[in-house]
Amino acid sequence: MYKDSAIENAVRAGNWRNALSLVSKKIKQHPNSSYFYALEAEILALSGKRQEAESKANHLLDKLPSDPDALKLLANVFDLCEVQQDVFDKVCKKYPSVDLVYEYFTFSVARGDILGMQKASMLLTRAVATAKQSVDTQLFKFWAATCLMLTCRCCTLAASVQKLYPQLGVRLMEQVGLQTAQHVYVYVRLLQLAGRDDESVRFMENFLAKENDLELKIIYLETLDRMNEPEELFRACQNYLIRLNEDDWDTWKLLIKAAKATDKLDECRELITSYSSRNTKLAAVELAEPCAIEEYFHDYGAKLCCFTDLKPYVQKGVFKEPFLKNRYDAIVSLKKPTLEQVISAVNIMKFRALDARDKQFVADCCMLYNKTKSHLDCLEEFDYFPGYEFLILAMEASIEHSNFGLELIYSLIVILEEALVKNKYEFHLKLWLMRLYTIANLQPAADELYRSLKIKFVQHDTLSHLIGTRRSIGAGPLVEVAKFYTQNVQREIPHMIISGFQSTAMNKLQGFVELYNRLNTSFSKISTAVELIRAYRLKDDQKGVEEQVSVLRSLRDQEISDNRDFKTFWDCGVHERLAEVDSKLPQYYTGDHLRLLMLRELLIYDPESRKTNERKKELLELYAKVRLSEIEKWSFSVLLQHFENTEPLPLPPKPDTMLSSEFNYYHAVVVDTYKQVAFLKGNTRDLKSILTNLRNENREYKSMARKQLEEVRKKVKVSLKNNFKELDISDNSISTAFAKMRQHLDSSIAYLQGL
Amino acid sequence: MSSIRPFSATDLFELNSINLDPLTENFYLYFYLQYLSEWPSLFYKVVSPSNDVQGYMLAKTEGKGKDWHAHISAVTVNPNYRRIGLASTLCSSLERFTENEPYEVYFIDLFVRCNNKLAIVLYEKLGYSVYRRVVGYYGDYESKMNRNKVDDEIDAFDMRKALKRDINRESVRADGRKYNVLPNEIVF
Repeated sequence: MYKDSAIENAVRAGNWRNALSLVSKKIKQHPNSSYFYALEAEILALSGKRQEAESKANHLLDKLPSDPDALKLLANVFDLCEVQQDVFDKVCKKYPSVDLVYEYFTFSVARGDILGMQKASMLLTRAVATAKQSVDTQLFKFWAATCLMLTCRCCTLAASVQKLYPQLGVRLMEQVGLQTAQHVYVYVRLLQLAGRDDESVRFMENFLAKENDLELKIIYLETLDRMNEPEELFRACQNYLIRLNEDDWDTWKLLIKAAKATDKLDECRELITSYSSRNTKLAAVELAEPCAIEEYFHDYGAKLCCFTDLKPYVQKGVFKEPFLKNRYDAIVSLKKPTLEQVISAVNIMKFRALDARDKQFVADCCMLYNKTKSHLDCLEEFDYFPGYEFLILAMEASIEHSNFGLELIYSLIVILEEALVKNKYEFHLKLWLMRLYTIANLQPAADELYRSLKIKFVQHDTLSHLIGTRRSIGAGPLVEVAKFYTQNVQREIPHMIISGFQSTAMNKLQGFVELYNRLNTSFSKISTAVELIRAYRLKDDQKGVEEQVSVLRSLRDQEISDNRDFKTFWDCGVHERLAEVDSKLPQYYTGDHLRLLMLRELLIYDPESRKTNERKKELLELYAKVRLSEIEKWSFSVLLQHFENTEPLPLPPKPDTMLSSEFNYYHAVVVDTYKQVAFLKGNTRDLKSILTNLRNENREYKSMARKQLEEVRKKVKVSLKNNFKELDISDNSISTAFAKMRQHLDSSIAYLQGL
Repeated sequence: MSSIRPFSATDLFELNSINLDPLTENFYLYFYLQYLSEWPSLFYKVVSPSNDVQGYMLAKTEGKGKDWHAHISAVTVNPNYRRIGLASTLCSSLERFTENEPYEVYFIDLFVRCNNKLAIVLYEKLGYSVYRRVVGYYGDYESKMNRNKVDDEIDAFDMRKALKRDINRESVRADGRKYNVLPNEIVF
């Protein structure tokens, strides 16, 4: 990281005094090196002496140092001091050498700063024009035009700039030439930003005649549609569908739209019937042709795509249509339906689920699962049994019509555990089971499943909320989640953005930068930091806490990108989030809730910030607005007593069952609140006595938890016999599932006892 | 309904329904971004009207002279959209994209585990044939040492399909199953 390893070690250890002494020796040795002056300013900023750091940084910047490493340090100093300062821009205007401006460009890339990239790339075109070394000037003009396009597409600009940039970009591209699809792409985008759609269409048409580029084809058809040119659109779609034989739904849909506008529906129908594919069957449905839905079901009813394909076109009550009802009755009457018939039955039950998910529906789903589960014995390795969907449908319906008590939660765990024994790669079952485990104070089991799914890299960002919300048991897999952001995102993406520019993959760069920025401001990144701070604080690991606080401090703006994937969880059953079911499940953090937690940590660990008053104000507003649990409300009220001298709320009563994660959470929050106040050197007398009481009680927790689990086991046994009779779950399966749950519950309770 | 669209880096947020499958590998970010950067038109997806990703193709070009070809690195389909021809659609699109300008390759190839009969049958239906067996391709270091020690579990078939530029069909052969090579002998 630094040019001197001794200084780096001192900084890493937080030994600021030693680091400063080492750096002052270096300054004496190299009095003309701007690097060590910048390093001194950074160490001062890191040690909390922000005013002094800022003053030294300004002093150095006034001298316009041209060492890029020194400039990067200075930029970081200004960030740490929460001061807006574009150091590279200032220096590059004075010394626009190719090397320095290129550093400005890569620095802007590393920050995901499109405006910085745009400024640097324009400076580069000028720098290379006067450079002595041989440089590809056309390439840098291409970069500059691309950055102008990206700026217009991704940033909020003044109207005059929004008008000027595309024109500038078009001129640059005309100097560069339009040899490849990438050149045409940038040119066309800029023409369209300049309001010259007509010209863009002409260019695309000419280019597409010699090269069939997918991206340009899509822009071409969309532009014709936007320009309201149905004749032209019809002809273009026809060309792709018939001459080039590209069976593409978007193109079919545009063909239908153009046909309707040009009175060519008969011609369109002819084209559809001349083709035989899933898309054309659906095109007939889209055109509302007689019996089109029935015909589609006839051909694709035994395919898993059937339900999602037809769902936008069917009405409630479709299940009663003879073509579905008769097929259903025929399958039900069979002793052992084939795999194709199983899939048909799954589709039919999904249509039925659109109508009513009552008790009879649950019973029928269970009956069908039991009737078809013999297929589980003939599964190939890594294959799935599609009949798992009967269980998902039954489970959702059961939750919908219940108060979602412990008896049901634990019954569903038993059912899913058993289903996974032979269908062990079906991930929807695992996602549901993970959710239930986290509700049932069985977090170690959820962590185990998360790992069994081999979730890694970007999947951590989209799926870690499944195990990372309101954790009250150690850091677990969240340590790997946090590493993804520091190790993979920071190290891999900026390098690949530069690589994208070098290989002129210009149509991919917007996606690269968006991916980078969405990961840098990611909801899961912040929630992981917040959860880890609590986990480390509970274990008195101050170094761990500080690492995560630095993640929160590094967020430059307020925007949070929520990349969490809730869709895959609901992408079974009727393939949508069911509000009636979701409302019964404990909710994940909302954006406001997460921001409230983040502000709390920053107020505790970043008191020197010039934003402290602003943060306090925002925290109070969010505290009044966010729906918190009773124990969280209490915790915030205690913290506010410290900051605002207000009266804390009385401690709410403990949850009465240990079989819910609320129990562990309650204890973790109480202990954590004590540790927050202790860190702030506040009054902990009352909190200490609360803690002593809790610790006196917790000796009995393990035996109490086991007793409660045993009571639930008995109820589950009865419930499975009464409510899920058709599944025919054996006593042995119930015992096996509960034996596993006992172990996981023991771990949860043991963690709590160790606090 | 399915449409073919170019893959964007932000699509990586949308792949769970495909990549939670045990047979689909999740790669480092740079791996996906490298394909997007080097071969931007050969990484594409099949989507539903609501933009749900139903499958994707990850391919590249490599080789010199008559070995200039496209290589399928990954082709994968969401379990809900299997057995309806999407893998074929993805493969035939690759043929269209690479047999003409700007690539104009001689052939397309791919590696498939020798015991993956379902996939081999699918590729044969699409016109691919076995060009050679790559002994120990999926195995450990030891298994990559002896070209006569065949094992369907860890060996790969290098399957190829000649495209129109290969007028004399020199890139394929009828008796490819008889030819064994070691992984380190495959150099383009």
